[in-house]
Amino acid sequence: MLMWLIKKIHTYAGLLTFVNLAVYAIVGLSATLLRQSARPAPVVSYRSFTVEPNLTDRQVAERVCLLLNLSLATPVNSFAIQHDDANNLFLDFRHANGRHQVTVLEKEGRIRVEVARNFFWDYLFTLHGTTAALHSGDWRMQLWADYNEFAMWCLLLMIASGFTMFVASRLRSRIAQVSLAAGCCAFAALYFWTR
Amino acid sequence: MTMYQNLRTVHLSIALFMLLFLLAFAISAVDFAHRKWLPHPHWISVESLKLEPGITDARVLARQWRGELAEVENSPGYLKFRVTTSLGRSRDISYSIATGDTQVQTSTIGLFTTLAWIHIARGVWAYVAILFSLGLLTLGVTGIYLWFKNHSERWIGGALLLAGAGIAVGLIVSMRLG
Repeated sequence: MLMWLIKKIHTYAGLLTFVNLAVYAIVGLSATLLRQSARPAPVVSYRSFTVEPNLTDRQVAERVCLLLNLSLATPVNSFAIQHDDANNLFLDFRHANGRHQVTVLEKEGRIRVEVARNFFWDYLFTLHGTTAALHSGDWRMQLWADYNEFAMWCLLLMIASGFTMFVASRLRSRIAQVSLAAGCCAFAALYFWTR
Repeated sequence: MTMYQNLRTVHLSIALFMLLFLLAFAISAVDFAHRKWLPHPHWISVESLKLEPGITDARVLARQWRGELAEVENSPGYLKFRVTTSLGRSRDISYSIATGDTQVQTSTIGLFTTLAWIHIARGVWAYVAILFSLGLLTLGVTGIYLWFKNHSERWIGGALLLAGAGIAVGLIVSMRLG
């Protein structure tokens, strides 16, 4: 009965989090193989934007976020709010899709927007490391963070349940024993060689 | 042996071979997500050496220690540099060019910090990350096959797979599109 339950947990945890595990694997490949890829050139544009009187810089930043549909960059971090050499409000929004650098040109009634959109694998890299510790202003990112946290724990659960199933039913399998021993030796050798 | 038995053996063998690697990545993922849960001690030890005087190139001296020559500082009469291993152990070396007197300060990190270094995959661990990723994909694909061949699990499993994939892919695509 217990083994039946453990097998169910192993299978269901894997099925529920299959996409997350695939994301981890793709990120593992892309982060090592595509590490040196050149970034796409940023695109600059201007948009009309009037700053109302008596707004704080943070309130202006939040309105810019709203205008540019940058919910992934919310809540606005303190380090995103800066000033340039001409003392214009300079907003540096970093988010999963890349970076928006916005200069608020109050006298001209417009904003200068420099967009550097990252590659898809950079986007996945950000997602793979986003867990429940994050508090995002975007409900989709928060849901992903919670789901990814769940996937992370499911991975640990699958390791534990899989090993339990091996001990309970396949312990005498020669190929399994050799695989386990080879893996442990490889890990130990690498560990002591590189530490 | 049938296809099912073959793939079950492949699934089991890869998982067992990767067991410690899987644990390293999974535990360090928990550590990254919850930085205060696990302890991160580090120890510093200092030793004095007498090396041949007159060497002015840090690269020549750094060959005595395994790792990457990470930082070099030029200060009058001294060569100061840092050598860091792929798993985060660092040595700060201060060498007197005139006398050859050398002080080596070694920073050793605890287990969980070491696992974090494995996760970020520097040096040879980058190749491990590639193999780990391929192994993870293989585990996923063979796991799906093994589940699908179990007829009694198809409906519940299919619903869970669709639900999980629907949520995850939906969120990934939706957030990417803005």
